Amino acid sequence: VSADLGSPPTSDREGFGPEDRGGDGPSRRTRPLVVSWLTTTDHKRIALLTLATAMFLFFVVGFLALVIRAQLAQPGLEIVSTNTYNALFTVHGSGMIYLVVTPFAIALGVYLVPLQVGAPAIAAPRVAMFGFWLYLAGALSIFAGFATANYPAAGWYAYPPLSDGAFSPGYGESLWIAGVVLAATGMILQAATVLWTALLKRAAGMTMLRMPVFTWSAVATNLMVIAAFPALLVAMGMLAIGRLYPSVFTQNSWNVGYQNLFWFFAHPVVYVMFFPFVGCVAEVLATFSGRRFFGYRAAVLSFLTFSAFSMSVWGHHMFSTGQSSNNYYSLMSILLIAPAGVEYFDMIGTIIGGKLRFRTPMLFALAFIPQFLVGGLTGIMVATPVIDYQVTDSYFIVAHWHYTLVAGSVFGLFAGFYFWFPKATGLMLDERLGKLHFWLLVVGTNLTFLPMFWLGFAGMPRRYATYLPSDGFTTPNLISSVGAAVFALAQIVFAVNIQKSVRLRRRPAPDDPWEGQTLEWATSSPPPRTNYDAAHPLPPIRSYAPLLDLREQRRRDDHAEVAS
Amino acid sequence: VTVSGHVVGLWATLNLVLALGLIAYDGSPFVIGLHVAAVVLVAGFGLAVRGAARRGAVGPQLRQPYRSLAAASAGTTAFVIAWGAAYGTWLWILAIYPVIVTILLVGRERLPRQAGEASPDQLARPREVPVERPPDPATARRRGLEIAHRRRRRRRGEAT
Repeated sequence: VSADLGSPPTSDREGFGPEDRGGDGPSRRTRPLVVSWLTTTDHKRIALLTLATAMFLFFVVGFLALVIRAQLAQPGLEIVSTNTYNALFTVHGSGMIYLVVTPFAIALGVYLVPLQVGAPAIAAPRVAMFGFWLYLAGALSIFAGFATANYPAAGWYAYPPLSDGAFSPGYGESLWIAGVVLAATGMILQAATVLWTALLKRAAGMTMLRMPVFTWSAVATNLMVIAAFPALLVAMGMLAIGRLYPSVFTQNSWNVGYQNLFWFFAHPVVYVMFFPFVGCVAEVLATFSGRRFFGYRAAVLSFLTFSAFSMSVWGHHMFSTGQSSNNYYSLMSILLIAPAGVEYFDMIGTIIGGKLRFRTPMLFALAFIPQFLVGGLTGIMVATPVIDYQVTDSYFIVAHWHYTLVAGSVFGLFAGFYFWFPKATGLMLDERLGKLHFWLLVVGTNLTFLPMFWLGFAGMPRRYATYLPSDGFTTPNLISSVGAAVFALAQIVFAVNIQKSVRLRRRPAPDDPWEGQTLEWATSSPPPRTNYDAAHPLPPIRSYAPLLDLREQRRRDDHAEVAS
Repeated sequence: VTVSGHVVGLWATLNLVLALGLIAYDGSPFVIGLHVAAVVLVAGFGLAVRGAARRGAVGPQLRQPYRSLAAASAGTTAFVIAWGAAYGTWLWILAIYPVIVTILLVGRERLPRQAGEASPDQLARPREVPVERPPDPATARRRGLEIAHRRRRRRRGEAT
């Protein structure tokens, strides 16, 4: 897209951004604000567009879950019809995965990686922006299904033959497939630009082993995106061709082939939705413990091995088909404990002995540790064939999933959100509302998803629109629905916090409100167009925590001065 | 940068080992092929990184396209094509317009090559883009008063 100057980064470079060039077009200042945002090449704006869209969809798709929980609060309720219920869980599941958590995880990298490696821009910004448009088009397509006579209702994995033209007729499912293809392609493009930036566009002095932990998490994440997401495109292509030409895929082997293609994408995507938030938690824990992240090299190695292992466990989703190598996938799934254990050890090692400050991001990061552990350990359980045969397609799986992605990833997401919001907007969020949001979310999350383990053991199947009073599922379902209401209340508090902080603008954020350790805290809040300028030069980079180095150096100098 | 290429290469190699490990566990050729195909994709990306590094396309990139309207029109193209797959391929004819816009814009949005040849001094002091800006209220008032005084002096026959 554009050529390199190839010049070393200079601490005094300023203002030579696309919008500051001379003579060949209007500057950003002359374009209306909306147009300048929608035609931007600034990685921060591209990321903020994606993050804002994902956050908005988080509320929309979350609302669908509230309807589901309302329906299941009592036996025999018919708030929505069975078909609508099927559409709700389909769009809730696929929306959260394809449109909310994955884009949020990748867009965090679009925002942070160039800043953290000292680059003035992202590689191929128009490709990243194209990725955003594809993602937006994908979201519109998926939701457009609700405007058709037949909603998309084949679940987020859309197994054939359920998703083919005979069993899912109409435009809803076709639009869903189109939307998934568009959104996934957009994410591949954004991931590739982030990876390229981390690998090739770093500032002088920023060696690979001086990249912050978050950037390493983004590298591992985007490697998985490049390896695994194309399989989803092939799978969706198969579905589309099967719907257009029903005679093409008639053998059952195609159905099993689809499952392999789908899960080859769908297991790694869990880690795509997890690693960047581990990176967030790592940065937050180190910052609010006032310490360097413990076991940096081991963490880097664990990210890379974890992501590689995660590419070879997809078959554990297919134990019940009898078409996967149980021993291999079970062994690989259990092996994941090793790199995961290293990451946990590093996180705990970071906070032990640190001077902990319990600000809102730190609370979310601390809660992530035990909550994700529940999701992770139950994941090992369901990756063991003898247990999986018992609990597959039950609410146990739903509980495991949500402990991984909500109690884990979403808590990491909020840790990162509260941590970098001041940097991105130049505004601090309200600390009291942040803490209220945290505590409500802890209660809501555990109240919603913990009873689902018991429901699964009791035999409640997933995706059923209702149940009978005699089934014995009533009490856990009621508790779960109350929990969902608390969860929703927490999100309202969160929305109020953002709205209040942005509208009133009472608390401007300093450049480094938290005593951060990585490069982005050396620049202004929000950062200038080229990330670093004469007023905010790149500090010397001697480790993966350059700002901590500077503070320690200053402290040593002060001591030396006093001593002399 | 050598390390960058090696990171991708090692990751691809580890995946290849894991893919081949399936042979010992009676993995089907389809499943092994699927995993190997992913390895090929990552290895291709790694080779592209290595190629770029050899060409010297390393380090912070200052020359950028100044806007991304081409991305929006390319996105519109993809949107029309995807909806055409759902509603009927006749819709694809509509994709011609955004395709043309994209082709026209892609080159024009790049900065001129001279920008890449600018010296660091020039980079630090970008040329000012002439911009028509409305005057601020104080300036507008001062200019208005100047005009009014000039007219008054002219009416009085005084030199202006």
